[in-house]
Amino acid sequence: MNGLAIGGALALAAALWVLGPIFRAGAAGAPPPQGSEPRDAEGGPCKACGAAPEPGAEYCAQCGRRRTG
Amino acid sequence: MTDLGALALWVAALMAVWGAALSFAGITLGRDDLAHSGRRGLVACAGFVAIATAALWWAFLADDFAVRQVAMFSSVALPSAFKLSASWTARAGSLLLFALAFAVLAAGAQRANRDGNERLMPGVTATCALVLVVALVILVTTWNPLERIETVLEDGRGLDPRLQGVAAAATVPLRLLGYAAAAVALAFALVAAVQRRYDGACRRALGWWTLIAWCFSSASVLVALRAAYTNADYGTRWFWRATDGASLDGGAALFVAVAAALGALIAGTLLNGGVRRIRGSARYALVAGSACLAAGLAASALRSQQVLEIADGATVHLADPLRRDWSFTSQGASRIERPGQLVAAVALRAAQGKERPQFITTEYREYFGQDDRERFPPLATTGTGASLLEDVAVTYVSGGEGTATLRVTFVPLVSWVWIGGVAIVIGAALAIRPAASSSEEVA
Repeated sequence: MNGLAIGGALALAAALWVLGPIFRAGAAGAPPPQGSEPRDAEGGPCKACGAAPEPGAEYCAQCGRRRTG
Repeated sequence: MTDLGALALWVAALMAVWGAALSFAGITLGRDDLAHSGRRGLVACAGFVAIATAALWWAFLADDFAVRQVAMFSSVALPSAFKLSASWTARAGSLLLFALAFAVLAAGAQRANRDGNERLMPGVTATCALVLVVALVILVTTWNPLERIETVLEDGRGLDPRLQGVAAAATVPLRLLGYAAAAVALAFALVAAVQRRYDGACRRALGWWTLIAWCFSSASVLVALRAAYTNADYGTRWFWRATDGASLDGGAALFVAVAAALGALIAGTLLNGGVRRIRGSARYALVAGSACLAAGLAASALRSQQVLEIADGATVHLADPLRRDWSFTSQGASRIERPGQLVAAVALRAAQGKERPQFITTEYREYFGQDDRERFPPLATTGTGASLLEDVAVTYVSGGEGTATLRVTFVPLVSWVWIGGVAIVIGAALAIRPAASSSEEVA
C-alpha cells in the first residue's frame, strides 16, 4: 500500500512537471506557431517585416514573429 | 516495493505515449510548448522505468519469491552479484533493462542536442518515445517482470550455472546498451532523412551515437565469445559455442549484436568520409589487431588435448604442441559441500621448464535444491593457466578413490585472439570517432 501511495505521489508530481510547459504557454497567451514564421538565426533584419535586428531578442518587437531558432 | 515497480511501469508507459503524442503534435502544429512537454514526458518515462528496474532488483536481492521471475531464476544460495544478473536472464527482465538503457540514452540525447539540433529533436523524441511505447506495452501486458504468483515458495529454482560468471553476466547489459545506442542513432538518421537535414551538428550527433553503439556492441560480442570460450571446455569449435546456450537468448542475440556492431562500424566509417579517411592511429590499431587475431586463430588450430589419470601427490609429464615438456603434480582431490552444491575438486601444480609453476584447480559441481533433488545438470569447471604463448586448461572428467581423471588442453597463442579483438574494437572506435570541429568535417 505504501508503494502505491509513493508511486501515486510521484506520478502526480511527474504529470504536473510534464504539463508545466503547456500551462506556462497558456498563461502567457498562445505562442507564435513554430516553423511557419521566418527565422533569422544570423541576427539580420526580421524577414517578415524588415525591422532592424535586436541582439538576443527571440521575437521581433515590431511584428511579434519569432526571430531566432 | 514491487507494487511501486508495477505502478511505475504503467506510469512509464503512459509517459512514453504522452512523449510520442505531444512531440508529434508539436511538430504538426508547430508549437514549442507541446514539443517541450513531450520531451519532459520522455525524461519522466526514463525516471519511472528506473524505478521499475530498481523494484525488480530489490525483489531479487531480497529473495522475494512471490515474484515469478525471482522464483524462476534466483535462489537463497545464489551470490548477490549473480542475483542482480539473474534479473536480466529472462526475456522480461532483459526487455526492462533495454527499456531503461534506451530511455536513459534517449533522455541524454535530448540534453546533449538541445542547442545544436533543436529542429531535429522533436522528431527524435517522438521516434524514441514510440519505441519505448512498444517495449513498455509489451512489458505491462505480456512479459511483466514484476508479475506475482499466488503460492509463495521458500526457495527459487536458481540461476543456470553456465550463466554464473562475470563474462556471461556482463554480456547482456553490454549488448542491450549497444542496441539502445544503435536505436538512438537510427532515430537521428530517420528524422534527418525525413527532414532532409544533414548539417554538421546532425552528422556529429549521428557519429557520436554510432560510436557509442559500436563500443557497446563490439564489447558485448567479445565478452560473449570469452564466456563461450571458458564454458566450452576448450574443445573444438568454441567460437560457435557463443551462439548456443551460453545465454538464454542464444545465437539470435549474438548475431544481432554482431549486426549492430558492423552496422555502426559501416555507418561511422561512411559518416567520416569512407575507408580512405581513416586516421593513422586507427589504421595502425586495426592492422595490428587483425594480425594478432589472425595469428591467434591460426595457432589455436594446433591445440592438443590429452586425458590423464593421476593419483593424489603423483606427477605426470605431458608434451604440448610446441614440443615443450610440462609436469603436472596433483595436490590431491577433495570433496566440498557448498550451499546447494556438492563439489569434487582437484588442484594441480603445472610447471613448464624453468618458468614459475602455476596452480590450476578444476571442479565437478552437482547442483541440489533444498529438497535434495537435482536442480541443474552437473557442470565441470575448467581451470586455466594463461600466458602470452599458450593457455593450458584442465577439466575434471571423473574421480575414484585417491585418483582423478582429467582432460588437459594446450591452446597456443589464444591470448592473441583477445588482444587482437580489443585492438580492433579500439582501432575502429578511433576510426569512427566524429571530427572535433566543423573544419575537420567531411563535406
